[in-house]
Parts: sequence; structure tokens; C-alpha cells
Amino acid sequence: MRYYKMIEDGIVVGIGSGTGGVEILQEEYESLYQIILSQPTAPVGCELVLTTALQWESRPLPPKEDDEELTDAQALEIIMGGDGI
Amino acid sequence: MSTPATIISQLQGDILLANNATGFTDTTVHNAMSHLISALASAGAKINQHSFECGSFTLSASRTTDMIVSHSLEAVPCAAFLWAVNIPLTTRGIIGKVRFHADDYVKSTAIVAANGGYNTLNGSSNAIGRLQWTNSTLIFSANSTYPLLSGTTYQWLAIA
Repeated sequence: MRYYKMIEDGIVVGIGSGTGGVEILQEEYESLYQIILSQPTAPVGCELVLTTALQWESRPLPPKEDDEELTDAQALEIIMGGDGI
Repeated sequence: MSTPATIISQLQGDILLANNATGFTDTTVHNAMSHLISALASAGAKINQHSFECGSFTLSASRTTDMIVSHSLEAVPCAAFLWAVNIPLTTRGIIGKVRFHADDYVKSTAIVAANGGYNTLNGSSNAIGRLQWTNSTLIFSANSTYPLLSGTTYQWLAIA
């Protein structure tokens, strides 16, 4: 199994298995996985990102898009316990 | 490469965990599926004569833009799937077009994206349009309404 980490602009965006990213050893993958799972709670209005120094850094949340993809009928279906199909 | 004994041990471990909890769950099934697919892939096996490839990713922060992963099938996939391995039961709502029920695994939809839409639990198609691909990448749609979650491990499978 090939393991990798994804780095963008000094941020460890994530980790994975398979093709892509920067290949890492399984030990580093498991270590990063534990760090990601133990992410502290972000302050209100912020999100935490993991720097390449493996420190959690707080950043403002991006503005929410007005992009509700559900139709009224789908929303009603979900409210009624369905899948919104 | 996983040995048959390793695979059996992993599957037994998943089932044991489920039995010690509340019975079979989505997570159980998907963990077992992940183990099995990984083992098959490492053995160079095929699905119905088709080459396939699988992988996973776990994000450190929720992602509100498309997630692009590479594959090495060297062909445009004919099918692809993305599912959540460790569904966050503490989260309730519609996330990534997946319904996570905080109190009920069975009602939680597992498949996040698939071509043409697919739901392993009820065959519905609530994931239409969330997945695109090329001969070298898979593109999972995400935005602020339907983000990919941090800390959730997503497993993908692409079939050539």
C-alpha cells in the first residue's frame, strides 16, 4: 500500500492511500491520521488548518455560498424521512 | 501484499467489533469492503475482467472546493464510487449529499458519490453529479453546502 500526504501552501491538506501526493511511510501516515482525528475545536467563525510544522492554525471560515441544490420537493421529502430524491 | 490470513483476520476483526457494539453497521461493511478491495488490488485482481484501482483520503479540514485525486488506470473509468469509511455519528444532517443519522447507522447513506448515482442501501440516486473523471484523475464535487468532512476517511474505487 502506498501512502501519501497532500501539501498546499504550507498546509497539510490531508493524507491518503493510492496514487498522488507526496509519498510517505506508513508510520508517518498513521501519525498524521491520529493528529487529524485529535483536531481541537475551532473558535466560532473559524476553521483549523494543519501546518507543515504540524501545528493547528485558526483561520476565518470562507463565506457560505448561496448554493442550495435541494429543490423544495427534495427538502420536503427529506423532512418526511426520505432521501430527497 | 496482504495475505489471505491477514485479510480474514481483518474481516473477523470488523465483525467482532460490530457484534460487540450494536450489530452490523455501515462502518463494518465498509471497513470490510476496504480491506477486501485493498487486498484484491494488491494482488492485481480484476472485477468482471475490468482493471480497477482504489485509494482513500482523509482531510485535515473540511473542503468546500472540488477534491481531485490521481489514478493510474491509464483509461477513462467506466464507473467510480466514493464512500465514507468512518461516518461521524455525532454529525446529523445532509453533508456531502450524505445523510448521517446521529442515532441510526442503518438510515445513514454511505455512498457519497458515484457515476449516475448509487446508494448501496436502497438503490436510490441521491449522489448524481458528484463525481467526474478523466483518464488520470477523479474529481469529487464539494462546496460550502456539501463539503467533504475533516477527519472522515473517504475510500474511492474506480473501474476501467
